[in-house]
Amino acid sequence: MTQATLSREEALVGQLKAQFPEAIKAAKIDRTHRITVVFEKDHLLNIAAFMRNKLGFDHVKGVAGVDFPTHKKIEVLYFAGSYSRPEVQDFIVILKTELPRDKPAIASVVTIWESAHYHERETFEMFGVEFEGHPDLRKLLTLDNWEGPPPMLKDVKFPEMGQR
Amino acid sequence: MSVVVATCLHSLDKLFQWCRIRLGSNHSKIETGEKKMSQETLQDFAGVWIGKISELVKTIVGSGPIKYVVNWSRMYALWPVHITTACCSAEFGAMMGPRLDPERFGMQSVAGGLRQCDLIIVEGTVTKKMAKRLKIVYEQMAQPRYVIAMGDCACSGGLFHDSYSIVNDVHKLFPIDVYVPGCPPRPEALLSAVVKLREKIRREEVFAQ
Repeated sequence: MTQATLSREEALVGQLKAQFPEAIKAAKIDRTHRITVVFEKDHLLNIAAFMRNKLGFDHVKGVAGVDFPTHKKIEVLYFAGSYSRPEVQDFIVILKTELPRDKPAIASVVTIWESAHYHERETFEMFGVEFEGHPDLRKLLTLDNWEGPPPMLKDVKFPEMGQR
Repeated sequence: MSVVVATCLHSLDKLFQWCRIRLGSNHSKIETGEKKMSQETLQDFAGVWIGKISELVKTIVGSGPIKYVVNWSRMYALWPVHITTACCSAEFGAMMGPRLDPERFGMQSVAGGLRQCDLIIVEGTVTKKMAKRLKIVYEQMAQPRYVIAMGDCACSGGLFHDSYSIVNDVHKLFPIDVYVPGCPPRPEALLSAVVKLREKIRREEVFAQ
């Protein structure tokens, strides 16, 4: 792949790094139209507002959680995309940050990206991540009478189910 | 042509079923709590005779050649319910297609409603939310009704054996006639399960259920 085909990605990474030199720890071009940005969790709202207002990323396609029990951390990923700006319509920018595993909490991006509403509810339910400032942080998918720890954490076992 | 034959067979089966329900029950006696004494006596009298006729019909139908006719008509009218719990339904669709052609065994998805259906094929993983619906569907179907558990998940939990949202014991919801392991089972395996179920129906007592 030549350098010319990745020029738009490099321009995007350059803009983000220039704007937030201390917040962004790493920015990597995975392949065409795919960028991964690792950042400090306190700067989430600033980065999100910059990406929506200046770069044209007007929605998130998903909010995901990844559990790392041995590293004592939970990663939260935001997959940002764009409908409104034609030059970045094919792009997906992955914003990735780490949270402590014993008390995971991060600011909610619903005020900036409204489509994160249900995704944050799901991540709250499955991984126990508290999204501070979310308007309606309830459980979403499990049964109505569900009680117990967040089921997607890797060290959670269910003794009533079969264990291998 | 075969659709017509299958429909005739199925309606014959339903006729036997109707006769059994009508002749075998004493609903008329129970529902007349506040009527007059003479009516009650009359209905008791009628109930006794209906019971006697029902015994007679049971004896005639349950043994001898009529039993084989009834079982034969049931064998050739296995209509599956259209309920899909998971991804095994793709293999189920392949089985229902023209290559294997289960219509030669009288199995076709032409049913208008649950009450005309005879067979549930539990197609794959049963989640706790879906188990409730599956049970409702099973209870809405008319007897006799048969169940095939398709895939590892429906048999024992399979890939999701230790998950938090899965029902491992589908046999606790309703009795299962044939298990088909595999993830997913081949369409041929499902068809062989249907053939096995037909063998079971062939040897069945008419008034077993």
